[in-house]
Amino acid sequence: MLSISKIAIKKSPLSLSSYFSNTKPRYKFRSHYFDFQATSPTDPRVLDKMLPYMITKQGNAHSKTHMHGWEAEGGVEEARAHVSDLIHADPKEIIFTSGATESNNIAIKGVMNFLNPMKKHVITSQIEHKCVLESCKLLESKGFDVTYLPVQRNGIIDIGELKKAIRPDTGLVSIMGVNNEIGVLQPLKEIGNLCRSNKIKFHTDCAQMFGKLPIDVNDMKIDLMSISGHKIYGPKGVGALYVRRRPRVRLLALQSGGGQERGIRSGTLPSPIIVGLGEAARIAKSEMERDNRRIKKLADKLISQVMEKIPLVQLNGDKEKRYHGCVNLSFAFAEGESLLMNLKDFALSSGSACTSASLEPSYVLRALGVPDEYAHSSLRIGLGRFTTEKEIDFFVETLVTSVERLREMSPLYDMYLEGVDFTKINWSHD
Amino acid sequence: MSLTLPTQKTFSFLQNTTTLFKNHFSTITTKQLEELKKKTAEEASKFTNYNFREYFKERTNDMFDEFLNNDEKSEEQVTQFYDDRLSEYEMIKRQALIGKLYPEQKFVTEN
Repeated sequence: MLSISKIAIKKSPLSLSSYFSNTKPRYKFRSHYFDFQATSPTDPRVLDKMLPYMITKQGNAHSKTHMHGWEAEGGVEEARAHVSDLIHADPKEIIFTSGATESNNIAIKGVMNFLNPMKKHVITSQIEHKCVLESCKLLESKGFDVTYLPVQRNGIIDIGELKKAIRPDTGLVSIMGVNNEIGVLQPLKEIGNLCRSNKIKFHTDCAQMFGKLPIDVNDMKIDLMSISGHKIYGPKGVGALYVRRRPRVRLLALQSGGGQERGIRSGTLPSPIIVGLGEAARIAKSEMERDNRRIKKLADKLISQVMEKIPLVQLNGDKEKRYHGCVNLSFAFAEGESLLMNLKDFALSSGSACTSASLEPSYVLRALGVPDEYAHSSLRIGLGRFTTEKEIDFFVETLVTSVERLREMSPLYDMYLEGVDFTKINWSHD
Repeated sequence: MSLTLPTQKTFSFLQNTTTLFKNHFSTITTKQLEELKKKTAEEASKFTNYNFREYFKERTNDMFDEFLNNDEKSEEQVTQFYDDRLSEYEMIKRQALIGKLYPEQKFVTEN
């Protein structure tokens, strides 16, 4: 009787531990990390800087009357200086937020709500991050007009198209620095000059660019910039928004409260993770050149070896104007999700949005004009500071084997080898 | 209650670390820099995380080699470099220990 009741308890669907326990790994081995665009591991130097602020220096940075507050405030101000130093800005122009998503929301909605009703038009691109597109959609529902600029085949904005899209009532242009899916670098300096000459505010989502490629907000005439902590080996849950003071950028705050962060973002500052962001920014400044040199070498090796060993591989996005740590490859006749399942020793992302329960290919690849069969078979490979050459070699070897195996099983690939023209086939059965 | 007197064995852990202190009173010698490089690389090999281990080992060697091969360096620069690397050595020791407290699965290639 006792043994039966034990079995009943173990298999009970109402047992909470069975629902929430993630302690048992599904696969015996840890996967090599190749998804640096999704997030990056926290650098041990950043963790080392953060820990005292979680253990002893735990005061509220806004407490002005005792040393606990002063210590926390000191850490926050030091972090602010490091972040601003990386982009050649003034520390007073940095507002700490919970991440780039919040920064994008504040920038887009805040500026347009302030400029309403004089300015009612926003220009953005079709390959922006979801938070920018959703913010623009919300503005559209409130009566604003939004132009979603198309991109060229290489993923870069056409400045001529941007010039044509500008109207007298354009209040904001929002174009991201480096795209998170294909890694292309937009011409921020040209866009900044164009916006400044037309007296339009220029916002750029630099979550993937901050700390990886050099940014000068004065040279590029950027008025607002979103920064993310966890993309530069900092902690998750923190970001920043650069808001220019000269000429002044005014916006309406989304979050009401005690008026912290110049009234733009009220709320107690999370000093440990802000200190982490500051340390990550300091390390990024000193190691940018070395990291970029290493990452470019690894990316060039990866792309050249893959293209040499497997035919019919396409690199999505411009080959030169990019951040080399983001490699988006499409493999003809090898489905993306099947490839991912074969590459279980590697943490990767695919080009399609299958994980969001829809089978649509990525909107970024679609905006580039990548055909659906390539869009469904694309992989986003992220390289970072901690990627090693041995991992690249192991990855290339496994990838080549997986693609060859999938192509062997593909009847479409057999038809391609026989020379069948797919455009002449009538696929529907009446 | 009997007191145990400290023996050489008790303080043996200090023997190899006596030269690694912040030194602002005399010139830092090449030998001291090389000793610090060796110690830092040793501590970096204690990271349980493969990526951190390889990164900090490679970075330590690169930074020290670049500095030692540079002939035009002032005394101030040498002292500053030594102090920075010493802080880094202490950080690597702490973080390698923290990594050991939270063990994780190995990679398939490490097995």
